[in-house]
Amino acid sequence: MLALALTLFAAAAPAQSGTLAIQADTLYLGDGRTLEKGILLIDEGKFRAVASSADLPRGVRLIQHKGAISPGFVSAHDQTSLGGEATDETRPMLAEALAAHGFDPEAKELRLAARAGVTTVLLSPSADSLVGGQTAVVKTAGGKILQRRSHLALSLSSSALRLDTPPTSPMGAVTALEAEFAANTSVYADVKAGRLPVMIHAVARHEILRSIEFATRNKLKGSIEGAPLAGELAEVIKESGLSVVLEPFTGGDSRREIRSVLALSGAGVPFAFGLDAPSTGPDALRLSAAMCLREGLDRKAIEKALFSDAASICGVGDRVGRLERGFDADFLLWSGDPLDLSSRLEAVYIDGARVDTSKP
Amino acid sequence: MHQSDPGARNSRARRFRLAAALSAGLCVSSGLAHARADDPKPSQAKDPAAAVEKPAPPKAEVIVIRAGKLIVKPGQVLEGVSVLIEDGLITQVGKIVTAPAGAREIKGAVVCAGFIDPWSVYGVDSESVGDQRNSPSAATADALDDYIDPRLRKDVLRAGITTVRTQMGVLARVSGTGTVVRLHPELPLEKTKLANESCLSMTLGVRADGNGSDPFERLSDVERLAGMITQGEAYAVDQVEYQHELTDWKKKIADKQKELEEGFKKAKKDREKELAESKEKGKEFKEKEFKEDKPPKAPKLDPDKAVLARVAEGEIPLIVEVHRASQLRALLAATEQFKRLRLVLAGATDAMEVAPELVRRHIPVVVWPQPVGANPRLEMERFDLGLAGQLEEAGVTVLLGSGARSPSGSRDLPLLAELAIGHGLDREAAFSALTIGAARALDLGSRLGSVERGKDADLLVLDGDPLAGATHIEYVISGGDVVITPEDR
Repeated sequence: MLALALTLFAAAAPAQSGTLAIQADTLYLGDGRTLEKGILLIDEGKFRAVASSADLPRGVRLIQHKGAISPGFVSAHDQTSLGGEATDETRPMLAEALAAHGFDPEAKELRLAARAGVTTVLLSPSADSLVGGQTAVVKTAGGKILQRRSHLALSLSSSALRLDTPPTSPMGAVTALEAEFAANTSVYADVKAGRLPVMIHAVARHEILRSIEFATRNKLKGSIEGAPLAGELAEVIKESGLSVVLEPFTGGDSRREIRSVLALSGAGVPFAFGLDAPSTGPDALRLSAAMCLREGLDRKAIEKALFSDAASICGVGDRVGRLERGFDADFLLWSGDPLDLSSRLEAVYIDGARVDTSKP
Repeated sequence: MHQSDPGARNSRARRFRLAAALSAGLCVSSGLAHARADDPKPSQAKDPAAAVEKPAPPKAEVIVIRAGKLIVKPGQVLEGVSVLIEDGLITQVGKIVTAPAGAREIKGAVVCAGFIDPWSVYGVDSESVGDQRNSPSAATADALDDYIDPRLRKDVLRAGITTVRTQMGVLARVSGTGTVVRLHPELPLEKTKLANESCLSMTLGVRADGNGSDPFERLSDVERLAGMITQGEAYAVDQVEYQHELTDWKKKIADKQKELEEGFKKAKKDREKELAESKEKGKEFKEKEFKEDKPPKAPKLDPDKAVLARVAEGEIPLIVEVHRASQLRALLAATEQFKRLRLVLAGATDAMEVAPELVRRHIPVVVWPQPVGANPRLEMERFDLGLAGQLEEAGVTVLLGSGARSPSGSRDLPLLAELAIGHGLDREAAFSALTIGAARALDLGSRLGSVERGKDADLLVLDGDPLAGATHIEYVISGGDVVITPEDR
């Protein structure tokens, strides 16, 4: 009955206009806090109020949702919609390239992501280039680019090494990168001044250490991405001030990797998961969370990793990833706890408009 | 090959006994018993075997579980009952169960049967998992290693999985036979293998290199599969015909024996006369030959066809991993002719396209509800986590498996089942899939899958309903022994 009322309302309300007020049993605010019987007031695609009681504007009916509401999930690393064109085969260094220019709002992966409750993704060039270009943050429905330039994507992993063109060795890669940073173009100036963070792809332990060393030497801000066992270097990473973006778990992953996440959390390193679609499906975010919870990870830490910390790592922590006044109204209606895998996702809203999730 | 088909072995043994009886019979009747001192006598041959008693299993602990709520099986719940476990079996389920002296008492909010993963590679080394020999008689039982990873076994048990159907050669066209194993930290494999050759597994369209095959190759793969079942059928027919021939032959031998016995005195006299004559003349004496001496020829033993025969006869199920609609349709059309074949589909990404046919032919589907991406390199590119729920809704028997790709996959099956529930599968149907449904599909429904008197004691003690995110498993009992306690969490 309630669900029906909601559907009717959503159908009646023109997208992005009109005011919407929803009360749920539990609001998961995205930063680890919850609000029982909280009310969301949404107007023009933004949260106008998130409170335990609200003075509703005239003519706005309060919709009761039996279940929970959470922010939309944020995938902090993704090649979604770049359609396999995330690498420039001929040029290993393309600092000026923008992933936003490869964004295809009609891509199937975006629809699948939205359907699973992922509302924001960080588009990144692939890890096959030493300097792949700049990341962008986009919404999975509506075609909105939230931020055109989020990071400079670097790769110090073996996948950036080539046979015929430099760099062909790890030391060659570092040398080439140092030379690039010495050249005072506007992009590197922004990076060195801390205006543009880096996202460094590294997988093996020595690659992580090399990345940290490079970032520290050049006083860079940003994240290490990939690194399934980053937690085993948690203290070093914490000291560097970098955060970590991990591949999600899909079932059958080694327990050592799951424990590595716990170590990151324990050391206070901010972390998030990047889906790297299309190789992983969007529900891997929730599965990863459930696997970490089973291993004993603090619940608040995993909520931050899925919502607020993920948004901050993407550089949009002040606009998405939380149910918070003034933030984009990206939210999910659940039958129960969003981290219980058996809970059902009943509706997805992006910028205050309901997303059609009926078909893949 | 692990072992020959029992049918073939029996017929071979029977043939041997017949031949022995025949020579003995004819010799006695022709008065040459002394020449056959080494004849095996059935009664003596049997005795030593009977004398060797099976070693008594170590006395298991007697356990009484006091359950706030006992899920006997899907849809049947009892409140405030106890379960008595003796010698690995559930011996009593009821309101009043008196604990025998020395019994261990366990209290729990919810008690249910242990989970079964019908699609796993647990306990099989990676070489055998990737085996590409394409032989039906290749047996997972031969590749099993119960010491492969004790920590992993504990992790899998902790997740509530007590039994797996594990499989070698999962990416080969013909994987070989699968084995059902109970997980137990102490018992050796001989005690934990519940069924050596529980099924035959094949794949269609699945490739080790991750590249799909072209449409013609896909169709010829289906034809090849059907051709193999036809071979198995023919092999089974040959065996049956041979049995008939043997019976006829036995009858003829008996008739001849009777005939000889009747004219025994004369025959003996004639024979002695002939013997004396040939001695006198210095000629070689030739024993009279009977045309019944020649037994019917047994069909050539072929271990591969023997397995295929068991599949064609429906003795063991055929589990086929297949995803695309075109191959699903072709497979269903090609197997319709085999009336006794018990087909089970695994993966079956596009199964909704053929759901009515699956319902009509009672073909179960093992769904792997994992968050796969839209990567076209996988056969599962169109996979939707809603599949299990949609199939169930359509009336198809749904099972859930961990997909047989990673050895630790089974550990995460309960989470994947929850994910399937979150995408529309009824909670009770998911529970059924992991317990009695899987047990029945593996022909172990009389031993596993529910908490009833006489069944094997594989149980979970939980602090809430099974397959709910907030629930923890407190105790796991496998084969009547407590193998996981709250301290193991």
